Amino acid sequence: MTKHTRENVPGFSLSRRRVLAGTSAAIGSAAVGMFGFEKLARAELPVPSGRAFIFCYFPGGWDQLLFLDPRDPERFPDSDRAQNLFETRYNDLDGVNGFGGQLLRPEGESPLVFGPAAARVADAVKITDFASRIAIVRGINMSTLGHEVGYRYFLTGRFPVGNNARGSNYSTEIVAQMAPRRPIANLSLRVEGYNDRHPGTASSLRVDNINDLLLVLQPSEHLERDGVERALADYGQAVGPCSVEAYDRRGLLTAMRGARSQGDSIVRENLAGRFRFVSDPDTDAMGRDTEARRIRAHYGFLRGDAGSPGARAALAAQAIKLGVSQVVSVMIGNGTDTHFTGNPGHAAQLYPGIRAFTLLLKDLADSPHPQGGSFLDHTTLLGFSEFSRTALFNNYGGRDHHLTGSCILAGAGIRGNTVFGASSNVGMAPARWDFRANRASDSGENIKPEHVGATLLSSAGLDPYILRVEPIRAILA
Amino acid sequence: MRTHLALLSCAVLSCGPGGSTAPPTPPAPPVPPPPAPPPRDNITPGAARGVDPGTVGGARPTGLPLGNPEMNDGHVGRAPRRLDVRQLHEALLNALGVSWTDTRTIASAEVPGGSYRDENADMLHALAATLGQPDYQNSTAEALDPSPTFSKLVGDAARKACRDGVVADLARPQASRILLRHATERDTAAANEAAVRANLAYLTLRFWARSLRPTDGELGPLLRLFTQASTAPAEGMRAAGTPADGWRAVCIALVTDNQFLTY
Repeated sequence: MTKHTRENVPGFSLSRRRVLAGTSAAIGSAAVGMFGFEKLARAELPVPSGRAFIFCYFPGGWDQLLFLDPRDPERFPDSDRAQNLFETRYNDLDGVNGFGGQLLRPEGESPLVFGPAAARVADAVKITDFASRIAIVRGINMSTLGHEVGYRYFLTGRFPVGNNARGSNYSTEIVAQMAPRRPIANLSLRVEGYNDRHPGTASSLRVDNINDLLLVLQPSEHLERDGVERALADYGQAVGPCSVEAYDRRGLLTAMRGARSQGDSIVRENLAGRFRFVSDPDTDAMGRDTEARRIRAHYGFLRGDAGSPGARAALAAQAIKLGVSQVVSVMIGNGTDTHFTGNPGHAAQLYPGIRAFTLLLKDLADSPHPQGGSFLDHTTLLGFSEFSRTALFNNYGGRDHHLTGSCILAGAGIRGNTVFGASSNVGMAPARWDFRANRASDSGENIKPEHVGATLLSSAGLDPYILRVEPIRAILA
Repeated sequence: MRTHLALLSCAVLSCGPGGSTAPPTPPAPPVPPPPAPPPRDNITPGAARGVDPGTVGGARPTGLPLGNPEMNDGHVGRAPRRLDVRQLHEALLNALGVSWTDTRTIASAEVPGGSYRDENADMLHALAATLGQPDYQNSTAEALDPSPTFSKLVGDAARKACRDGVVADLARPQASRILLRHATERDTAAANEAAVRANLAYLTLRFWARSLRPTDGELGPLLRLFTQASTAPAEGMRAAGTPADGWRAVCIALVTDNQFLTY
């Protein structure tokens, strides 16, 4: 195992002490308890290793005509909307809010093409710069027009019962199968987490914002003295009387004890200092630029702006790059449920998330991984929304919910410059697709979220058959 | 039979009147065999299908027995649930007289310095989204999973609320106290164990709805916790422990216990 020190790879180190500490945290948290916070030094973290994943959720149902599944106005002019049941109105974006109103195509031969909200004209870094690492899946049949249903369907790969999710998140499944040694293996920022069959250690640590994450990571400001905290920890781990344990036949109390141990263990890691990039000053005591300033400059958010898509993307990158997490789920986008606004309004909501996703790709691509290559070579990203928006505008000049979805995959294990599936050229209906030949076929099958989930698992050599479908081999590297 | 064995092993190997950290207790009397299952014509339709009627929705007709545990994986009645955020807020307020208020730094790009401080924030409201409360924009169902986030923040809530609760209690006359109802701030376990035990029994009823006699062995772990905290030696800037420290520790233990957090 390669040893990396903080000197040669900033932010990473592995030592015998860290290995022993990690082992004792896993085995002995129940016995040791949460004492000694006041004396903790900054903990060392395990070197990032194995496949990492970042799930980026764009809430509200995005307009894929503006991003992942656009149409060329030359072939599908708005004047033909009665025949095509399409209306792009890309001209509405021309020169508005910095958009060009044009489709974006990568340089060179590529089947990829993005809608006009994918980048602004002045952007130095565009999503097309990463075409060789990107695959797009189009024409996904989401089978629902309900936000929560589509959202949970894409999170788990199993169609919900009513509004209630079934199964576990892909993130939970990945962590359960990989069992990575990470302080917070499965971190979630504003994305729901489900775990229907795995130990609590696979569940996500979910927070609503970065400030709340800091609160979870750091000890309470009102800790009792060490001896009392130790006694409280012992008390909390003690098995209760039979009358109470009999109440635990379904395992809730056991799960809560496990969560408590996990929470205590996370606090002992003393990780909060690594996530203060939102509030830390621009310069240190010596007047030098801080890492926080560099992060804020890259992701384009102001100090204190914890809620911006850039800050959320930065959190995902930091968690992966510092070895804190193996899987991060983040609500990266702003709400795009725009029934009553046209392209400019929707693009204004959609673009910040796309921009953050693009800068996340850039950050990962520019960061060397301790095991060679860049972090993008070791990290798989998925960008998704619960469904999309109708191909025609409604009477209010907006677009309503539409059944057909699309998603973007990038990074490790993904065959770049690839498009799989398609929505129909009349009304953007979900298409039947021949998975082997990668072409439309009347005898093909619907592309569904579980296919995407199986592909993600397969891309890292994990077992995809929990989802009971074949992965999409055409987009596997 | 599986239930019988599970309960027997529970009694012998793990749980007991005083929990696993209690001193050895005399062996329990032999566990009587489970009652025979009710006759087939005297159980609810759900139980007849091997389903716990308390879990399948719909009211169980009164006067009929619960489903047979052996046909329901050892349990009857509905599954226990974790408190949601609103319930936790109300439970703290009712049991302790205070909820969790604290100073909260609010990040904001609209103020100089990027953040401002709210000195008296209702933390459970402020952290509701992180604790799983739905926003009714993207979700309408509260997350009630036993997450590390919930566990950690409940610990924080207990420490601050119990600190405030004990301070407020000591300012009240004895008769109207909430936490120190049957013991005074001078009573130690060594000097007046009876009063301490009486107060512990009162608190288990108040926080957990468990009616225990002051002499009950189940109070052993709480009594030990009280003793440890109230007799802790001086540590750095902190003076030696007092009974108030002991009651604060007991309060934290009661609030963070699963008996308080589930129903």
